Amino acid sequence: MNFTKTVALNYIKKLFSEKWQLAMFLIIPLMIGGLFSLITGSDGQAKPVGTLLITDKDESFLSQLLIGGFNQGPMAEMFISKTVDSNEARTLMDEGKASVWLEIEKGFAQKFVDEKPTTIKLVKNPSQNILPQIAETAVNVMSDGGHYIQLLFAKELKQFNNLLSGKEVSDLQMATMSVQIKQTIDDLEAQLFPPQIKAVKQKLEAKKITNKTFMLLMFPGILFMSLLFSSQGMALEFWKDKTQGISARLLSSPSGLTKYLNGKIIASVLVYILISVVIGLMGLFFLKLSLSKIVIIIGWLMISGLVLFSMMLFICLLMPTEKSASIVTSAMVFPMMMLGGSFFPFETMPKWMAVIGQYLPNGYMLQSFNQWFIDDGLLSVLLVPAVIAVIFIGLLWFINKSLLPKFARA
Amino acid sequence: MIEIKNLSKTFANITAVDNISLKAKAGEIFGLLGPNGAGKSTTINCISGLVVASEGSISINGFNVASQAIKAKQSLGLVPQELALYEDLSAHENLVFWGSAYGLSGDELEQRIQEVLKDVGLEARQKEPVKQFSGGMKRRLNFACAILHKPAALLLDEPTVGVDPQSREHLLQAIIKLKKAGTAVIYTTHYMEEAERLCDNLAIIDGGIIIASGTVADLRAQVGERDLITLKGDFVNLDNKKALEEMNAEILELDKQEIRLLIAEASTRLSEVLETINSVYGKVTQVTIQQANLESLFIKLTGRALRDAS
Repeated sequence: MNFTKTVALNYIKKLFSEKWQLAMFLIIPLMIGGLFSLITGSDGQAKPVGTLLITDKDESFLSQLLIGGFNQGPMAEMFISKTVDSNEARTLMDEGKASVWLEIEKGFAQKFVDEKPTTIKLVKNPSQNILPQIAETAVNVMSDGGHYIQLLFAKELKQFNNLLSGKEVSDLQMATMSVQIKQTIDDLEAQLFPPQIKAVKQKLEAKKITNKTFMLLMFPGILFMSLLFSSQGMALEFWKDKTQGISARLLSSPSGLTKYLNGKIIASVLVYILISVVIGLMGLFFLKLSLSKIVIIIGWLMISGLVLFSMMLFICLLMPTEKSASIVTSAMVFPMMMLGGSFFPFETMPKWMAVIGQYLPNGYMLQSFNQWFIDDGLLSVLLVPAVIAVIFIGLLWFINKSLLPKFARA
Repeated sequence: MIEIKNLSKTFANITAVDNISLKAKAGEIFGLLGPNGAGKSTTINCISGLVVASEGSISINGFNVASQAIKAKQSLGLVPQELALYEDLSAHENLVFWGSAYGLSGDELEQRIQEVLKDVGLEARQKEPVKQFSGGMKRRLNFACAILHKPAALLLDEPTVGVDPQSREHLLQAIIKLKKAGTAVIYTTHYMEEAERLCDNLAIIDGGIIIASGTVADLRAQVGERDLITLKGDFVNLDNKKALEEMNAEILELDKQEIRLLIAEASTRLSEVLETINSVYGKVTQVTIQQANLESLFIKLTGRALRDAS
């Protein structure tokens, strides 16, 4: 046990003396996860936001009504509107600091009421596509709407305009205007809204409303990315020891290679604990995970890490040189991350790809983990995968143990 | 004690060691002398368990290497030809690693670490990472790792290759100390001077076969009291050996560029030798005289110089 402990501690000391390697185990997955999160937004529902410049030369009730269309509902989520004069608007557009500039000419409301042509100027930022296009469509829709209002309520609009411009309107005129508007709407309803034929009442089972942020969905993938990187690094350590003559010399010692292997396994468990604690603490702060959840995460990562370490070690022991071991394991890590659900959820993959991914060791362990972590499953969902993982680890331990002497001698 | 009986090791179709037998008793240094590729390291690797012998038996301190491997290994220390150290760790941490590999722990381990560090002159540098050490210091540490557990038998595979004189002296003194403490040592080298200085018994190995063995005195006697004289020049008439035989010279080598002879009292008879060579074979441009040593024996036995062969 003493030698096993020494091997484990030696590896940890070495790891801390090579701080970059340790940092890489954590930084790369966090960086990838962070970038994904930034790209898609922390709530997972981020939309592009643009700046809408508004120059209202008319400053009438109708022009305000038009501008108001951009300041409510979904449009308000897409645009931050800013009221500016023409010069400032031109400068900002030239500097590319706005998506769209909307200019409403003076006399807009009067011309609209008088059924005369009027102009709404829309200037789009050529370096942007989506937001200016949305703004243009919105203005078109509003123009069309305005046209129909003119057709239907021309008389009422004139009376309303008189009211707003301060001209005297009698009670009779006001009442007549109200009745006319009501009458027109009632007439329209008969044509626009067909009668309801049959009312069907269906009770839908309440769908579980889950509030999963993108960061939460990425969290398990980040953890498994770390496991893959660290497992590869630790498996390659066997080659470093071999090239330094350590493993061959150990063959002549009574402790031998089995205790050495066990020591490395303990070291890898310590590394996995370290990774889970660091990333788990981030989960604690940023995702508000409970402490009990973090304890289970640590346990699951230890098992999953050992699965990956055993597999990587098996590959390394079969390789003829350190370089080939490094190339082959690197060539495995990235496809495993892609297919194994670390980058993209299985649900978004083509079916055949998802099937492969779910049967990769990391994919299987990640999928099982997600059933508990993301889908709020019972802890018991982890039981069967844990048993399978332990059998896998045990089997590979025997294989690796029998491969080690040959590896050390070669 | 280390005892090897009829050891053979074959790799594919190559016989690296062929039916070797030898014995190193407690408190004795047994030298295995031979050029690179002679089979020295393979013999060492068979003893230490790095290589499985094809035939024969090996025992260390009375324990058979094949059937009582753990006990045999507990009695054995190995200083491999290649360094086996963690470069990123300190000398002390390396010693902890190798000490615990041999079952040492706690105060006993720490005490032994300080003792061996003193023996190899590295006490002051024990906390430094090995990567900052010179080649000689690494060799000394490599040696120290092997003797932590006070092995009854020690294998040293060319421990002084590429080592500076100071480190070499440290190592040789430490080996002599171990011998005095009763350790059985097998020492492989192709440095004649070291072998003559350290070894009680020697075996000269070439092509996997022991071609001569005995004490240093025994082996020297095979050469006799004759000196080795090496002459260089452009020589002709090489079929004529009569002139040399009349001088009682034993011809080791006779070719166009070099003549090697074993001859008694070479320095006092140098003018006679030069006169004969000049008149019969051609002009001599360079002469070297060496007293009888293991090198001359190796040349006598193989027709090659040790370093030429390596």
